[in-house]
Amino acid sequence: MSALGEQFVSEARELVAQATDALLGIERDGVSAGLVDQVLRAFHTLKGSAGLLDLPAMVLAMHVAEDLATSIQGGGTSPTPPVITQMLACLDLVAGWIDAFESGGDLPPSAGNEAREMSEALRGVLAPSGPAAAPQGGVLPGWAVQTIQMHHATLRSRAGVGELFAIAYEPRASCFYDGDDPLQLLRRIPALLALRVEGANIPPAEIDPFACLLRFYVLAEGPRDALAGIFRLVPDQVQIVDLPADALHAVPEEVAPAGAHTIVRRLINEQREMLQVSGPDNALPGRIGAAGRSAANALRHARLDQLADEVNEAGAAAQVDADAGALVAALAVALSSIDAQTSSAPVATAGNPDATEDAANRWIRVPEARVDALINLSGELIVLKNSFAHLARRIESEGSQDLSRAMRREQEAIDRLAGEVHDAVLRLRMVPLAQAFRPMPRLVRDLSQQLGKKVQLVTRGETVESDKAVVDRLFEPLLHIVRNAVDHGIETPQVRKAAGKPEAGTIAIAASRAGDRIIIQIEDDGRGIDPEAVRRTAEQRRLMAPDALAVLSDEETIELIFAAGFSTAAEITDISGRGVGMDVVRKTVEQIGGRVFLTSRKGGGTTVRLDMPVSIATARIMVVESAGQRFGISMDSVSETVRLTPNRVSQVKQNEGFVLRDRVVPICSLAELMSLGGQTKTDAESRLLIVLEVGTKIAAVEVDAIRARTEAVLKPMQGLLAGARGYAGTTILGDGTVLLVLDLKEILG
Amino acid sequence: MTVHRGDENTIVLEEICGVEDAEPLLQMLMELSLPRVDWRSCHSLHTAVFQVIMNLRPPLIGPCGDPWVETWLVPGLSWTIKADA
Repeated sequence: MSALGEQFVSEARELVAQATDALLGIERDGVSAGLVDQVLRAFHTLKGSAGLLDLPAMVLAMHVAEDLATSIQGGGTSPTPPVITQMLACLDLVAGWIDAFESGGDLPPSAGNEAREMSEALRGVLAPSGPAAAPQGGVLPGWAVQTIQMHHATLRSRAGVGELFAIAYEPRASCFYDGDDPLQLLRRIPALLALRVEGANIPPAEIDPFACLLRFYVLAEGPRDALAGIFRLVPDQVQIVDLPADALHAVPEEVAPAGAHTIVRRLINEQREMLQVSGPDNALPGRIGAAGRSAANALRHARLDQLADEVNEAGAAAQVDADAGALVAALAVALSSIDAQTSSAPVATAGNPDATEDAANRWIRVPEARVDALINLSGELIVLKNSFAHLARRIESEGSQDLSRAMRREQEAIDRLAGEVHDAVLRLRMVPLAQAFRPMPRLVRDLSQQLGKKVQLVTRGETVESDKAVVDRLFEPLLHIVRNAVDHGIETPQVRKAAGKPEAGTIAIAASRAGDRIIIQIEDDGRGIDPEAVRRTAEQRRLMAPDALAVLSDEETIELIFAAGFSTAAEITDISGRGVGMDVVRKTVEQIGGRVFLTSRKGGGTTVRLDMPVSIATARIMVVESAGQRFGISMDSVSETVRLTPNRVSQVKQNEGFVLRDRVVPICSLAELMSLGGQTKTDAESRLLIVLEVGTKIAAVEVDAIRARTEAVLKPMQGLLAGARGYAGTTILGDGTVLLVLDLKEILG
Repeated sequence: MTVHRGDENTIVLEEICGVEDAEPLLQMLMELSLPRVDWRSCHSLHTAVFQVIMNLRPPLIGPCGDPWVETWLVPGLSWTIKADA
């Protein structure tokens, strides 16, 4: 994929996530300028990038979504749950398109239809502003109302009596390439009454002169057939709506959108800050020009034309004088007069807390493979560093005291430096847990609505950081646990009320760091787990022999929900009751060296605690086979592998050995070491040896075959085997088998 | 080319301005300081050219030679469009 495409994919995903967060925030806390602004900006930017990549279907859907967000901002549409649900559905659609784009470089073929359906659905929830809302049979779309509002004077004095139509013509961004000239089509409308053109507000440097981002809204007299005939070649880009004769009079005069001022303030503030930052002198006129233009455009957007003109003039003067003073002053005037108009609206002003936040959240996207390469390099640096210690000792023993002291000093410096580099590099992989928490609010919202429950989600500790691999793998277990909590834990409002609890249940996710572990606690105040019910189910499902089951304590019984194939839900729902959830949770968490604890009180709620490592220790492992069994050997101690013909092996007392570069290397068979029985065939044509060096000791281990070299996460030995010597731990291979990894230091020593 | 530099910072649009004129117009508008556009002799304006004008909002020396544009589009332009010839 092109660099542009890649950037689009990652940015678009981020925007979808941001918009989702903001929408959920609006639903939870009500409309706030900041949140609506965030949604609006996300849709707007998505539309822009879609235009850039020539994805007309996405441009269409984003355009309508942007209209809806604008309407929410202006107070025309209130963000009721159906509206939020529709916008979330739109984001889901986009997320799907992004996936398709990432894998295939384009939107799926169905995107055009999906976009049209989505646009219709979004328009369906878009409240028409004003009392002209209901002409016979249907509602007047917002764009039509706006067009009428802008041309009130002309329309009132209209003499004609023909049928009236409102037309929205939103040409495809690529229409110029198709040979279309939208203005040419509009010219052919016989009885044009009003024309409103909307343009996308794009910084001059980013304008693509060949992408049509204009939208046209027309009021015209019929007949309908004539109008439809004009646009017959672009039916997908045109909407023609009947206007009842009295519509023109029923729509009130226009008013400036309420939320607009907030954005305008912010934009003007930004321009002021930009002008106050010092920069190269020759760039100043350009900066003044850009700042003046943006501020004036913003003012015009809020229908403050006079202020806009004043700013424009001040900007032009400042540009000529190459002194920003006049423009800064004009911006200050504009700001104070906006304040005078909106004195009732409390808006955060000076100090701009956003600015510091932005600096702290500045990111560089780095491909994972490059970070890993750096980690490997820093690992090698550490190994190299260790060799200095040996070298220093050797010099010392050979008698050069001064040199050895100097050597040691240097070695300590390298030691410290290598350690720091290694730490810093490992920190590159650290990401905040917020990444795993992020989808949860949406999940809880959708589930609780689906189940008719009221659930409030509280998250804490999102800023706690952990290795990316841990955070990535945390997502799935977290998903299952939260699902379970909503589905099985939290009761319906009626039940809760009867039990004397508040109607809305609470699920709290809290993360904290304890040394090199991360503790994530998911707590709900739902019905808790009933040990009796668990016991009955375990009996029915024959998870345990009845007499074994009978002696279990309540705590031990509850633990059974982690068993494969367990489900307490009376009926299997499509949400969580498949009985695989908690099973998967435990497996996934243990795979990364974590543990799950569960406590529950009948009627009082359930708490799941995940105890996870901050980072996953991976080891490079060689998988070898001996007497039909496979073992892992840490590559760190393997210096080479050798194939020997039997005649090179000599017998030293009871042991075998061979000479490798003037050193005698004893041979032992892995099968014997592990007491596997089965004799290794000593009469074979050649023998496969793995030469191990641990400290100063050298030895060769004979194996039957080398199967693979791999990176694996080592899990320490647990339970009965916790004290077993000779094992570094276990790991699970790609095919699901458990591999014992040998600790050769201990075996050789 | 039906778009070309006039005196000082004036850009002149002439006769039929087609889609191919949009890019040079954009270039000129960005290069000149305080550019103005004289569209009095332009008889026909392509959407792409109009879009560039809408985005960069230069002062316009009019009336536009395309009466349809003057009637239907100019009233909707909200910036200070008038400039002296």
